[in-house]
Amino acid sequence: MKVLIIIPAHNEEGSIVTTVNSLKRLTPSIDYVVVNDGSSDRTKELCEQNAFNIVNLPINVGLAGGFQAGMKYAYRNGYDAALQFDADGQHKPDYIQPMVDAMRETNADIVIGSRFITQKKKFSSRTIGSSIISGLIKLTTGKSIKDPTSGMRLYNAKMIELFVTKHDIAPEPDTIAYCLRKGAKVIEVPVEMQERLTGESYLSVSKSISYMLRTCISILILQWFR
Amino acid sequence: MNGLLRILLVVCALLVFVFIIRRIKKAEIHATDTIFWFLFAACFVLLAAIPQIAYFFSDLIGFVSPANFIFLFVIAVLFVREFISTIEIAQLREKLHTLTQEIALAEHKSDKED
Repeated sequence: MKVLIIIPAHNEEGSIVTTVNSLKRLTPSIDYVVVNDGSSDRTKELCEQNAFNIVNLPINVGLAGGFQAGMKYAYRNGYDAALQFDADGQHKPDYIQPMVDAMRETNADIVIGSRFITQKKKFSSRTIGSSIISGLIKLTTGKSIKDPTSGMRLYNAKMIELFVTKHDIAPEPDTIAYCLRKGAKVIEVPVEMQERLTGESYLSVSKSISYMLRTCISILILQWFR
Repeated sequence: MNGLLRILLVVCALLVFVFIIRRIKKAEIHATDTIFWFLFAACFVLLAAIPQIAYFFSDLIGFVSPANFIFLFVIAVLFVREFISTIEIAQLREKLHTLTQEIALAEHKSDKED
């Protein structure tokens, strides 16, 4: 199976080199592409200095648009699967191969790298949000997704095509719910994640609230009409 | 509906008209986009010239004052306009994202071929 690791990067100068180098060291047989989403820092220069494989968006279009660029790259270069991988060092490359193996063995459409299969959710504002989204997905699709907000997801060729052709699809939990309802097979594989190396999480308080509202409205109301 | 409100409607229509013409001169607005505003201003003039229209609809819906009908009418029209703008912005954003992605992918491809 030909797999592409897509690394959307927006202002990740502090972590991008470490992240990509550890990927190259630990998963040398898997291709990757860094999608520089109009960074205003030195992300682009650092990638070019290190001769990383980079797709450079001239302006900032946000995670969904940046990730879609990566999916287009995967689609046009004939990849069988694409992995969404964070540039900030939260995701560990060691878990990529188990996810790919799981997809091959189970023929799943989406494989989620899940933090909460073996470990229980610790009590925090973030896990409350995650539990609410899990509950909504269970309510609307009947399926149980333990870690819907995990940003480490592997998509097969069918899903790559979906991302390329549909513009209202974002690599977010509501897309998981949408795909589940359309009959996609989604499985979870246990992974561990690290605290981010540098930079600030994009989830500030106001952004967290709008993220939750968007996700809830999308899962509860919008998905029935898509 | 007193005379003052009718004068106000005409003044507003004139202001809209002047504003649009100035933008047209500066080439800041496209001719197609002015249609809505001209019709909007024309409605003001029409309501000022023939207040019976406002009276008719006020009686029909049960408003005490025809002025209330005019407020409701203006709010409703602007509401629809705002909704259309939201859709247009979404479409523009989608086009912008597509162009950005295509530029990036084309550049990547030509880099590889060099």
